[in-house]
Amino acid sequence: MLREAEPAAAQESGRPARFGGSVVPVATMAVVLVGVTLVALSVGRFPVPFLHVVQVVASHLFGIEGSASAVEGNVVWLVRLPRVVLALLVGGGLGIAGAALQATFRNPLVSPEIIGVSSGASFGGALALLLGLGSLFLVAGAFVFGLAALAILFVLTLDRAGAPMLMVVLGGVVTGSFFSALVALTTYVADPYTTLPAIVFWLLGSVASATFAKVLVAAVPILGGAVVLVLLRWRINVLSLGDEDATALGLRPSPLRWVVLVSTSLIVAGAVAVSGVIGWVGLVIPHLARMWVGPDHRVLLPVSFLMGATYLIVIDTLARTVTAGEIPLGVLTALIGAPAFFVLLRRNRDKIWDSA
Amino acid sequence: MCAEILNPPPATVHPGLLRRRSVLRGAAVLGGAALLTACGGSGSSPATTNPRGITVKDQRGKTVVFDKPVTRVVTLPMPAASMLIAVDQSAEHLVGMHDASWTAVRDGILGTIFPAALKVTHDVGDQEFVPNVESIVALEPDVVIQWGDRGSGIIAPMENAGLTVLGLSYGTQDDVATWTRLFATMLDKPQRAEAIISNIDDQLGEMTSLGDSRPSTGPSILYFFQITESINVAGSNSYNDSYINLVGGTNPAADVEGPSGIVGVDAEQVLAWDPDIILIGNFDVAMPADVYDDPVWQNLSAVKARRVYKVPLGGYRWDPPGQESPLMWRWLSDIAFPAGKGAALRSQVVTDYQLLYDYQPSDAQLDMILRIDANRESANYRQFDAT
Repeated sequence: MLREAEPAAAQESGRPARFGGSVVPVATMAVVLVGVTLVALSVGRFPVPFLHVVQVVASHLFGIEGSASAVEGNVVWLVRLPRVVLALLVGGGLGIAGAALQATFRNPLVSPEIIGVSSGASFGGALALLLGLGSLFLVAGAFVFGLAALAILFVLTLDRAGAPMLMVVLGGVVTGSFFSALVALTTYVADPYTTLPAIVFWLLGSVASATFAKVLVAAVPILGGAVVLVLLRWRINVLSLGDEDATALGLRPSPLRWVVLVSTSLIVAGAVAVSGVIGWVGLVIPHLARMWVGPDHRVLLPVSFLMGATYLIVIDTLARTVTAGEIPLGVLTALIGAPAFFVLLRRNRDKIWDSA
Repeated sequence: MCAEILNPPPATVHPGLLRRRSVLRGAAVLGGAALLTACGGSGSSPATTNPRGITVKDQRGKTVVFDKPVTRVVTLPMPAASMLIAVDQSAEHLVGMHDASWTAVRDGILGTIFPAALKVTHDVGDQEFVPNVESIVALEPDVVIQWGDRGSGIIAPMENAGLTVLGLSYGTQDDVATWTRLFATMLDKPQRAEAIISNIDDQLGEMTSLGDSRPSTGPSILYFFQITESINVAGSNSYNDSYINLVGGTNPAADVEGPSGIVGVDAEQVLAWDPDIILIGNFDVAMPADVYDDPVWQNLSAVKARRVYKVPLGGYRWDPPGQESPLMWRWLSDIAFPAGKGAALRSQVVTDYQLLYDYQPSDAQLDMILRIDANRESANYRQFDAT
């Protein structure tokens, strides 16, 4: 009887009943994301009829010729699409990274910034801009220094077999401060007429300068890291119980934690490289997702990705359409995110973490 | 009524963060530049020489008396160094300048005209114009030129150290005239101020009547402050907007306002505006070729007609208001309404450089100033070739 009610795939994976519960929220969120993406592709300062948007996408994907003009083609394919996809990747990446980190550190205040990787990556990018190197170096610099920040964190905590949480958090704060100082130094020595405005704009956080090259650059680390995290969803559940319980359940928490940290670092470095530091997504989205689907990371991680992606696409679409002048993304993420978060916190005080 | 014409930000931070100055609204409607001529010295002032010394009043309203003409000057505002050199026709009285002024001297033609300027100390302050008081005191200046509209924090430490400071306001052609008078007075060369200002006024009058004689809807001209990583254009109440209107063009971004006149926009917005002419400013490394090669811009009228131009760089950048602004107006006028071969611009540069720097630029130097190489592929640029 019972078996008949279960999907075949679930039987093979050997964890039947639980799997069913994750499908609904994930599927719902995926549908919402697709809808938001389509809307985002259809609106902008340059008027393009919806039909032409579809034709442009179809002509690039399937070679079907439509009646859209060349300008409309450029607008949809070269301006909007990379931007929307980049917002999707960055928002999704930051969302899932935040959720994984909050579980790993067993702390609701943790966001990708806390382990110092954001600051490291900012410094790498700022340095590339300071030296006037191309966008390839911008991305490479963010990667190298984002991972360098992580390496410093490793060194700080390495000889402590258990690498207590306190050490990791302190190490992250120290590393972050160090790289923030280096970023400040970079802006201090930058030429105020040429390089400084570019650095300041980049640090503000934006996906405005999206190109397919940047999308590709962001996709590899972000999707790579996200896939690892999703694969680890079971173990992250165990990890969130605390080291003692995890050990009792036959898991070695320390190496696992580092796998999670490296994955999130990859994601954050990729996101910072292409869009600067975009705050709030990594902190707020996991909480919103947790209020909806609960603390089970098998559901929470994919939902955090989809919700973060949706959120950032919505915000970025507002940023580029509401006024002729572009509204800085970081301003909007906080301006919209903070009050929304506040309302939800008030309503769900007891559901935020304790019962999770 | 006096319009204040804005300038791209003095650029120590992202334009969006800069303070807002007053607004130039409806300059196009009112005939733009006519307003400029209506602006005399507003408020701050030239000065008077009397038996007891030279009295000047800076743009903060502070009065300073010098016993004798100043011989040792330190400048912190970036454009002040080149303007002081122009007024003085010499770099010998400049003993210290801002590092960014110095790089402009080194990279532009001023270092060639006045090699002594390259040897001037340039570690007198940081990029936020916070003075390095001790190194300035060590230069024993008679006077220090500093921004007067950015709070007392960057002035008080110097005055406390016993230095004489003159505060400047920035942003308008009117301010340029005021500075010129201020510098000329303290150097005791009042005739220099009159010569420079009357040259600017004459050319402004000429450009104004030329602009007025043109059809009311000239080509749309979009000025890019930045285009490479972020897109920032000149909106209303920018200085760039005022000269676009002056020559008879229209600014497609005129309905966008931002602090300081420079606004960040989306690429799509630029495509929607579809400007006839694109100007790439000196605050970005991009050249016309970068715009021509970018697939995003392929369908712009300006790209199809190959009317994308890099703004020239002479004794100072031509984008903001300065002693070479009349040349910018003439250049833009020739770009917007090409009259064919033999444009008078080259000879005007020679004439103005004679007046400003007492220097005769060679053909190769004129090519460099006008960025003949960078603009080679652009339409109607042959008009500026040496004949």
